[in-house]
Amino acid sequence: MNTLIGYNLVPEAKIVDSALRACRRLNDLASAIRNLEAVKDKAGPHKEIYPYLIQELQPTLSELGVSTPEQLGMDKL
Amino acid sequence: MYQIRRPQAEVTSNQQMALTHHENSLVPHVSLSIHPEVSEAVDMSKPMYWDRREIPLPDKRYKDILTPADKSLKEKEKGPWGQLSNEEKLALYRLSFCQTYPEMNQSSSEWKTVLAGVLYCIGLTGLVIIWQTAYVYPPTPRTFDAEWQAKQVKRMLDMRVSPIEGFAAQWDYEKGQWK
Repeated sequence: MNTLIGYNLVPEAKIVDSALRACRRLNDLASAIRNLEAVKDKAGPHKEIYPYLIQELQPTLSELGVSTPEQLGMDKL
Repeated sequence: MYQIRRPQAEVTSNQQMALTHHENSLVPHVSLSIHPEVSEAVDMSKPMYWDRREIPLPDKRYKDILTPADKSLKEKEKGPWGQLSNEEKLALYRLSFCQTYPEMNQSSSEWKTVLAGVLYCIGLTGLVIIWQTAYVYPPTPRTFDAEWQAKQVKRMLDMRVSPIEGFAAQWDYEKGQWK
């Protein structure tokens, strides 16, 4: 995942989906949320990418029970 | 396949830190000297935690010593995540990570301190220089007097210094004035 974030791109929904499922296999919710934060950070000034990603990932998020950082209030300081 | 670099989810005490080094070899072990909130010397041969934008999942979890409450939370994490409350999810996050991304990315006002320091030093230097000109420098040479300078310019014009495009070219020799 670190390597993926190192690339000059925002991962697609499918890739983030696999990452979230991998976190589920490892029983690691914190990493799942961290992944979402990292992907949002990767988008940089293009603020419309992250909401689109979340929209695409919504089925997976509800299936796995992952909350987005916004739902947990973590995007505010 | 994309692998997640995370240590095992059980308790890790300091003695067991060697076991938490993940076998993923895609990213080489980077030893940075940035370690949050620890002021004593850090053993950089062991996996370290750091908050960095480009490394979302550091080599180890943030909190090593788990209280019994934390351990039970970790056990609950093995079940469906939908059953965790928001506070529990936040607690799990804070166990694994020190700062969230917005906290990590927040800008500081350090630049104001730096700028103030720089301007202060320049100001001090200016004061020193003013004092120097008053008390340290010897008298200026006589070649700086206005009368001497005038004679010098006349001599240069008589010599036709740079007559094509430079000094004497600016002087109108018929009218005896600058062009």
